[in-house]
Amino acid sequence: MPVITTEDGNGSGGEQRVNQPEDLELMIAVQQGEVGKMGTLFERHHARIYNFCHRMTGSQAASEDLVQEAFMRALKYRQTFRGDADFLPWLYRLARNVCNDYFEKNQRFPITGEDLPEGVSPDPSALDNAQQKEQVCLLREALLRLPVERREVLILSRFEYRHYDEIAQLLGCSVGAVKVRVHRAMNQLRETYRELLKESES
Amino acid sequence: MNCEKADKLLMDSLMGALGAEERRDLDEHLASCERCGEEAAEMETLWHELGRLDDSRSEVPSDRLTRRFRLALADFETNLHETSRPRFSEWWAGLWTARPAWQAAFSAAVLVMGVLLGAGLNSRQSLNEELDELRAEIETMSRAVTVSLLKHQSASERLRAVSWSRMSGGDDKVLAALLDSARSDPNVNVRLAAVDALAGYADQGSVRASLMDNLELEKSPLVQLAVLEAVAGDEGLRNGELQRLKEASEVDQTLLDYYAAQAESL
Ligand SMILES: [Zn+2]
Repeated sequence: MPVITTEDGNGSGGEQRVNQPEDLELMIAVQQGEVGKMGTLFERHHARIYNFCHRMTGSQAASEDLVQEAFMRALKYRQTFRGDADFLPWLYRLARNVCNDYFEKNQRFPITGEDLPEGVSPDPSALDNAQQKEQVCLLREALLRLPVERREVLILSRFEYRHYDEIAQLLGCSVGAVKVRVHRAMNQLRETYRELLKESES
Repeated sequence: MNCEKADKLLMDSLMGALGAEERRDLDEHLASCERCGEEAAEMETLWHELGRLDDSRSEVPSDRLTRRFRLALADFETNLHETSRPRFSEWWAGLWTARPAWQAAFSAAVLVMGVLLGAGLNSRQSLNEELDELRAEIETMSRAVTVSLLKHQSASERLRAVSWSRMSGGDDKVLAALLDSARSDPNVNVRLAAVDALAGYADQGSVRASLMDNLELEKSPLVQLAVLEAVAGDEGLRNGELQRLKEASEVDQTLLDYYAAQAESL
């Protein structure tokens, strides 16, 4: 019988719930003309958005631009934020759109191991042989080969959020639709990963 | 449970979204159905590996990113102010229609002035006296209004009050109220306008010192700049002031560099 693990990926998502009243207050102040308060919101959330963009694009350099662009859009479109909603899902929506625009402009696909960090795993002893290292690279590439909307839902569910309802809120769809998307994304990831493994073996 | 249902529940299980009963049913099926059991094991491994994959990804972005955004934000703020900062004439027009009582008062004042101007043809001396008196009256009136309006709840009313203060001369109470606004008004527009209004009094020792005090607390680079412009004027900062500026932790590095360079060139 399989033991299903549900440990948190890196602690960036689940333990901290989305809705912080202070975010809301700051954002409303921004809307009312105190745009400097966006600085605090940036301090608070840019690392999270950066990681999301990094996971989406696989590129560190691109991600820095994308984070900047996402927050600039938050300023520019500040009046589209609704005071009765949460700030973070709104910010994520902007980040998603920024990433989508990036993909439309940059059709280079797939991004093969671009700017792969030197030490791929934080736990080198677990990956001390070349084969395992290669598998990590292949899985990463499989993830980057997924269509954007599947990669996105997978990134959100695996790394960013722990609950279907949060993801549904973020994507503006039903919990049922999220379940279907995650399911399909996982199946496609598995297929792609299998193919890549086969390719590398031959 | 059939295989199709098991396949559906597998993802929920990975997400930790299964109830106790569903979980038991799923585990039962996976233990008894070889195909689903293998599939589940594979998916679980993949899910787990995916999580590990990310560990190397999760990182703190470089400081450069923060610096870049701060600059862009300051820029954005500046542009916003240039387009939305109320001009005196607009404020005046708004006031005119919004306050019938003042409208009446000023109509009367203007009428008096007209009469006096007419009279001035005969006696320039008395005209000047009368005008001075009238000016003093307007100042007294605007002083009272300014001080009370600066405490208004609405930021736009406070902004009006700041503009209003320009009519009331260098009255101590008004200056104190303006300094208070420049220092602690929660709205950056009001702080900025208050600093601007105080700029003409920056050669007064107490106003100057009080403005410099603001730099210890002021977080907006824009207001910092306004304070420094007001204090430095054409003659630059004084020795002690530059030193204090360097010690004020909140002051934007760009501003520090600029005024340090200016001091040297002077
Ligand atoms: Zn089965």
